Amino acid sequence: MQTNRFDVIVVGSGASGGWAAKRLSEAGIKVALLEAGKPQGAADFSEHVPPYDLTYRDRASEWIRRTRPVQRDCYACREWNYKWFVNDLEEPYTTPDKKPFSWQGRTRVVGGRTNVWGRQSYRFSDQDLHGKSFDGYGEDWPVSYKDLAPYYDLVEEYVGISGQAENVPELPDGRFHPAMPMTCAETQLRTRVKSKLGWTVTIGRSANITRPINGRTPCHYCGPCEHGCVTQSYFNAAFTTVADALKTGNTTLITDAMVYRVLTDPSTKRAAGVMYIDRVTREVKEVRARAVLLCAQALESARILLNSEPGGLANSSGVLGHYLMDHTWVAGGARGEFPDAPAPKPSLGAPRRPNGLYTIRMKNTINGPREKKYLRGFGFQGGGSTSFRMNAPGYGAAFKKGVLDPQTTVNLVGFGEVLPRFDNFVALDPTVVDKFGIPVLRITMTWGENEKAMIPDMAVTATQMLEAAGAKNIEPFTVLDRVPGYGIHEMGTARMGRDPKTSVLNDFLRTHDIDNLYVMDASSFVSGGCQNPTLTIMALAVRGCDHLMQEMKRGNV
Amino acid sequence: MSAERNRSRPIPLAPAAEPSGQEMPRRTALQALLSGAAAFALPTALEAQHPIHQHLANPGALEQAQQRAAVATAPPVFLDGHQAKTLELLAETIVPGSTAARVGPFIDQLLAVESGDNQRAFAGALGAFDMAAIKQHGKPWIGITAAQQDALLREASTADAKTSAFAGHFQHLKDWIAGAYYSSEAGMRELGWDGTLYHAELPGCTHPGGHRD
Repeated sequence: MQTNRFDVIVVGSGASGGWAAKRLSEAGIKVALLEAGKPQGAADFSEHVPPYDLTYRDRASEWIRRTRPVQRDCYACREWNYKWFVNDLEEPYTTPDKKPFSWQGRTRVVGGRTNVWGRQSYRFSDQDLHGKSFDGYGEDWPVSYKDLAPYYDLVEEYVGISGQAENVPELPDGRFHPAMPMTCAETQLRTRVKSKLGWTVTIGRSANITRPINGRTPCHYCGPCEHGCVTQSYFNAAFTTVADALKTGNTTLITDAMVYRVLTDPSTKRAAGVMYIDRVTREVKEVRARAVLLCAQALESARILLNSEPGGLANSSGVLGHYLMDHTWVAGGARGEFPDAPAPKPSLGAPRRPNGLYTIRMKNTINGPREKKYLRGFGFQGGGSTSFRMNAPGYGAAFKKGVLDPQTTVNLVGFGEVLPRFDNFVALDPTVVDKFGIPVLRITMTWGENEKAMIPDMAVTATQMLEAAGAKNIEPFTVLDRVPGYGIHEMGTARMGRDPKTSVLNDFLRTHDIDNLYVMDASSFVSGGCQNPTLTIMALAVRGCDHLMQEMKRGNV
Repeated sequence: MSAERNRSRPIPLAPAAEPSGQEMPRRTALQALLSGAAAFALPTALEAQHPIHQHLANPGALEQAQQRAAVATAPPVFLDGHQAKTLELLAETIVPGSTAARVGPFIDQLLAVESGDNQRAFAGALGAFDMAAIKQHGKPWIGITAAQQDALLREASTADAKTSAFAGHFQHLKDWIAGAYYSSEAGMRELGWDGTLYHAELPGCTHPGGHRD
């Protein structure tokens, strides 16, 4: 068996792993960056390939489902890029009867999920971090906004987030690149919702740069960021943080490395390294280091810890794998038409904005009224578009003429907070293993009464907004049986806390049980807010790395 | 061979044509042309911006184009000859231009990798048009006149798809045909596609009032 030694092992090269490798290696620390997938570069990107240059023009879902029946449900898994995603048949997971969970966005390439992410980047407010203090449910995070703010600043400065400051306490502002413009229908919605309802509709805060930084070129509005970006205009760890880490000469990137176990020293009980299986050669290898950082994604990191020793490593609390959260997504909202809003003729040759609208949480706010039916709140994503009328009636020349008749619509889709509950959890399936022989996860998650009460209000509230904006033909929707997982925001499987009896990690993402073992992905989240989590994942990871470096200097690690 | 390789391999579009021993393969010739290795004049800077040069500079696209060119003579993969002809006629009537855009053969390719349910639904929809033609005129769809086809299509396209099975079959076929047509290069160009990928600016609302009431 081969063994290599480093200062720090980082498992996973996505949002948090990329940052960890960059932060540590730029400080002179020798890092082994292990990625379960393949190398990724500009030659793999296909954002400029039109559908007619694909074999099936992305219209043969069933063909992709033969190997990726779960991943294909992700909006980003398409004929252009499906090979970036895990083969669900080779690396499955299980769920209990009648409790489906859709584990999407499982990538196997350097950069991880940041290759295909939605790029929406929002700060958490103190209300999000201290929900228990506000309404009594769950636990507060062991950090406050003031702890995170400098790290949000640092991360935003490097990542490049376009957006607009709004000075709304529920969604702290950041350091934004110039905002992408709204359409007339969107502006109408923003203006009238603000004046009639007092709520804020803003342009999405998106990790697409609109001014050059670090050799990256501003967005050129070609559209499908999830296929890659040769101008590096969206944030993808593969060509940003990971590339920076490699430039230092201090990071060694090991691809095709299926990490399945954290090694511990029997005498000291500290983490000693990791074991992995080379996906190509199937050789078992180990890497040793002074500290181990799991950045593999909330479910994968939990899986590694659960596979590391019976009952799970660093699990004296018994909460490892528990308090799994997602966001309720595409479960409630509404769509309306804006036939009178000025709009340019639709054209496939026109620029495409890789971004939508964001409606800042308006329910159960600090200064607003409290909802009687549910705790916490939701935001709306979605946006406006003027599109071809592909459902035009008839046939022949009349149909083709009808297709060109534009329709302007705005969609509002709720993104709701899911309460952390002990009985939403992952554990090892007792019998099922993946193609490497590694035990897989059994995921148990359902919506609770709070989510079921919140989802219908998303439809009601979206309708209220569209009515205020003067929309026509408003169509609300509610999908109470939306399968958990569609938010693709798995959080909370190794939550932070001050009490080692009820949490896995401390406020610097270090495990309470093992002081040289950190978990730096969304496993640490104590609650989920209703914002996309990646920006917070990155800020927490950098903060955790700074703590680790201090501990290394002190000789504690 | 792994399951991945078994399952994800696209079906061959057509048997690969064997180049004769005398001929330089087309791809090699074109790449030589582009690199200046052959005794041809290189395109001017302006000419080089033409989309054809982008295609020629892309070996993958070139390979696919060659494969596609061979499809014209290939038999359908999923449909039988009668179904393929029926589809071609229906597609051209429902979305004019479909024959030139090779909508029928493309749908046939998709059906070959579709689920059994979707294959059955498509075959059933085609069959419904045949049966409608037989009931009214004693012949399948390809045997009736254009005027008779038009009358049946008018009936199918104006009935309520929720209550009329024939209307439902029409809508099912129309969705396939329109999807295939508007994802073809010809269809995309009708919708404004011109190959422009780099846009310096993104237009937005410039009305000073913000569309207040």
